[in-house]
Order: sequence, then structure tokens, then C-alpha cells
Amino acid sequence: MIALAAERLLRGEVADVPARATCALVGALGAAAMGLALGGSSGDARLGLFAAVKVPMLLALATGLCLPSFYVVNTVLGLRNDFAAAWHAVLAAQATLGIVLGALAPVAVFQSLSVHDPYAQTLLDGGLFASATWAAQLVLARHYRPLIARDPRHRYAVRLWLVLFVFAGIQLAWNLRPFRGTEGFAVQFLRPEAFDQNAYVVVLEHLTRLLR
Amino acid sequence: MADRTPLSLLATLDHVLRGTFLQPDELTRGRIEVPTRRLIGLGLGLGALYGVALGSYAALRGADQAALQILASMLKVPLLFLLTLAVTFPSLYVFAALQRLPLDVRSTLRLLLIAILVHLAVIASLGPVFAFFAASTKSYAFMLLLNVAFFAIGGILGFAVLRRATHGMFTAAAAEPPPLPAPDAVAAGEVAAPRAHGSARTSLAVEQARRVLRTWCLVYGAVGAQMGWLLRPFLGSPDLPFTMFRPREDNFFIGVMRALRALGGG
Repeated sequence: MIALAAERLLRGEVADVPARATCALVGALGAAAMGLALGGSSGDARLGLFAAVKVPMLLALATGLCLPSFYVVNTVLGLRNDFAAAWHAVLAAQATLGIVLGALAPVAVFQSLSVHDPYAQTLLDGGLFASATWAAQLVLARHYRPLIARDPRHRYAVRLWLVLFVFAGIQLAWNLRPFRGTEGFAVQFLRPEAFDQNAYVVVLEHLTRLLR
Repeated sequence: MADRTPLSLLATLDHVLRGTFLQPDELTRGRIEVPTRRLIGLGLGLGALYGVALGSYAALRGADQAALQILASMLKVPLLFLLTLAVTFPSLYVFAALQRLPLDVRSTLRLLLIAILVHLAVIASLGPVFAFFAASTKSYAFMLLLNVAFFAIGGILGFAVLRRATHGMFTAAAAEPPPLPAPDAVAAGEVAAPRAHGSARTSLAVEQARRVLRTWCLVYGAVGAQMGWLLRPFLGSPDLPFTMFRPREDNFFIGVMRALRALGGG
């Protein structure tokens, strides 16, 4: 059933999208597989389990955080009558994100075995997440095509969704670290300083230091 | 709308967001029928809701008297909109009247109330995102800029509502046939028979109205930004003691530049 739902999400048109609960389940399973691959690479089962919980959590929380504004923006743009379809399209894209992450899990394992520099690993993990997000956007664009054809204002709503989702998602991913274990650090669900740092500020500080 | 069964608060908000209160044919007649008191109540509630999100930064970062800061922010967000409206409304009304928009003072005020409510609803819906960043960010400068960005997004959507309303007003006016001259006058050749000049007249009028709106929105945005600066702090810096208002110094734009520099480590 899961494989069939995944197949329909990846190949299907709008009418083929599975029910919302199935989308959520398929996406969560794929994301959990990626979490397991990342966390399990440390060799500690607990970290594998933590990451398997945290990656689906990351997708669900980021979606939940952005949902109120997505709803309001759709309504203000006069697209409320299409909201059910728009939300279903977003869910299908999120499920696809999970599926692609799951499919990339073996790559993450391979990466763990072949790359030993933690900074390079972080960068490559970022690349995996970025490519999964890009793949999900293909599905989002496919499902949004009829909506945009009906009313071009859908383009603005979906762009705003993407910007906000990525913006909040990056910070949430930073908060939910570690996904991989770091040598010399105790196994923990969240780092003690999880909520003390802002990902964007950290990146900006690094860039500023580099440019000086 | 007024003679119908009173709507619940959420249903009223839904109508505002959907633009149900801004029907082009009603606007053309200069009428906007809205439950004004309920809209004001909703505005206060949404402003207070976003105020809680703003104040959450003080609470989560251990600032001095965080509860007071939350309360202050809950009061100051609606106050910011109220004062900005008070300062800019006369100029908008005068410009709108010069452009012959068919709205009287009361209807213009109601139209703006709707646009402000949309602005407030958008920022309130971004409240969870703001609170989430407040929980995970120490940088005061980042939160300040995030607040400015959220206000700007809300402002753009509020402006879109005004724009749609003025467009609707003129297109509906054009759809109506112009008043016919007396048949005798046409027969005598004193007045030409009516022709279809509607669309050209409409596009010119819409363009003029848009120009007025854009200018006014710039003024509104600038006044609102500076008003926000005067009413600060909304967030409550963890390094400073609680105060209802900070001393008057600099301006909003200098404040933003300073925040950008601080973010860059300058």
C-alpha cells in the first residue's frame, strides 16, 4: 500500500494523489528512513532512533508553522475556494520530500562511510536535503499548474509558501541538531544550546569573518 | 450586510480576508457596509495576538519584566495602527476626493479599516513563525529585522486589498451605462449621442487612482515605520531594563541600518 501510494505521488497527476493521511504517513516513513541513515551512521542506535523521529518532526513542524500564513495569504488573494486543492498539493509535495529523502538514505550511508570530515559531511547532508526539496517542488509545480491556469495569483501564494517554508525549515533543522553524532559529544536528542543560536546569524558571522 | 444575522468574529474575519465586504457595485455607489465595531474588536485582538508573539522574545530570552513587555506589546501593536491611521487618514481622504473616488469620509475610513485588518491578520498568522524564531534566536538585531520584514509582508497584502478595491470601483463604474442626455438635445444636435468611451476613461481613472494609492501607501508606510520607532520597544532587549517607551533618538531607517550592521558583526 505504501509503495503504491509513493508511486502515485511520484508519477501521478493531481487526481492520483492519495488521501491526506496516506501522504502524511508515506512522507513520515521516508523522512524517518533518512533520519535513521544519518543518526545510525554514528553506530549508536539511540542516535539513529532520535534522528528517525527528528527528520519527520522537522517536516511536520515547519509545515505547521507556515500553515496559518499560507491560509491567510490564500484567502487575501481571493483563492480560498481553491484552498483545499492548494493544501493537498502542498501535502503531496511534503510527502514527496519525505519519499525522496528516504530514497537518498543509502547515499547518506555511503557518504558516512566514505567521508570523514564532519564539515564536508554537513555540507553534503545539506546538499541531500536541498535536492530532495527541489524534487518536491517539481511535484508542487505539477499540482499547482491547473490552479495557476485557473487563477495566476496562485503563483504568488505558492512562492510565498516556499520562501517561508525554507526560511523556517532551515532554522528548525538547526534547532533539531544533531542529526549525526559528533565524536566526543554525548548522545542527546537536542544540543543544550539548541535554542540559543540562529542559523542565519551564525552563517552571516562566518561569512563576515571570512571577508575580513 | 447590516440587516443580516450578525456574523461570528471568525466569519467576519473570513469575509474581510475574502474581500466580501468590498463588492465593486457597492463601492461604486460609495457604500461599504461593514460591522465596524466588530472589525475594530477584531483588529485589537489580532494586534494583541501579534503583540504576544513579539513579547515572547523578551519572555524566552529572560529580559527584564517580560510579562510587562508582553502586555505592552499587546497594547502597542494596535496603538501603532491606530495612530498611523490618525496621522495619514486626512491626506488620503483629500487625495482620494481629488481623484473623485466615490467614497465619503466614513466609507474611506471603513475601506482603510478593512485593509488594516488584512495587514493585522497577515502578521498575526506569521506570529507562530516569529515566536519560533524568538525561541531560537539570541540576536536582537535579527528579530528586529524579522519583525520589519513581517510588517512589510502584511503591508504589501493590505495594499493589494486597497488596490483591488479601487480597481473594482472604476471597472464597475465603467460597466454602468453613462446617464443619457435628453432625447430633444440629441435630436437638436446640441449633445452628441453617447458613445463607448468607458474603457479609456476607466483605465485612465484606475491608473490615476493607483498612483494616488501608491503615493499614499508610501506615506503610510513611512509614517507607520517611524511611529513604530517612537513606540518601541516591542521586543524588549534582554540587555536593557523594561521601559514602556524609549527616549526619542534617531529614526526608523537609522535603526534598521544599525541592526543590519550589528547582524553583520559590525
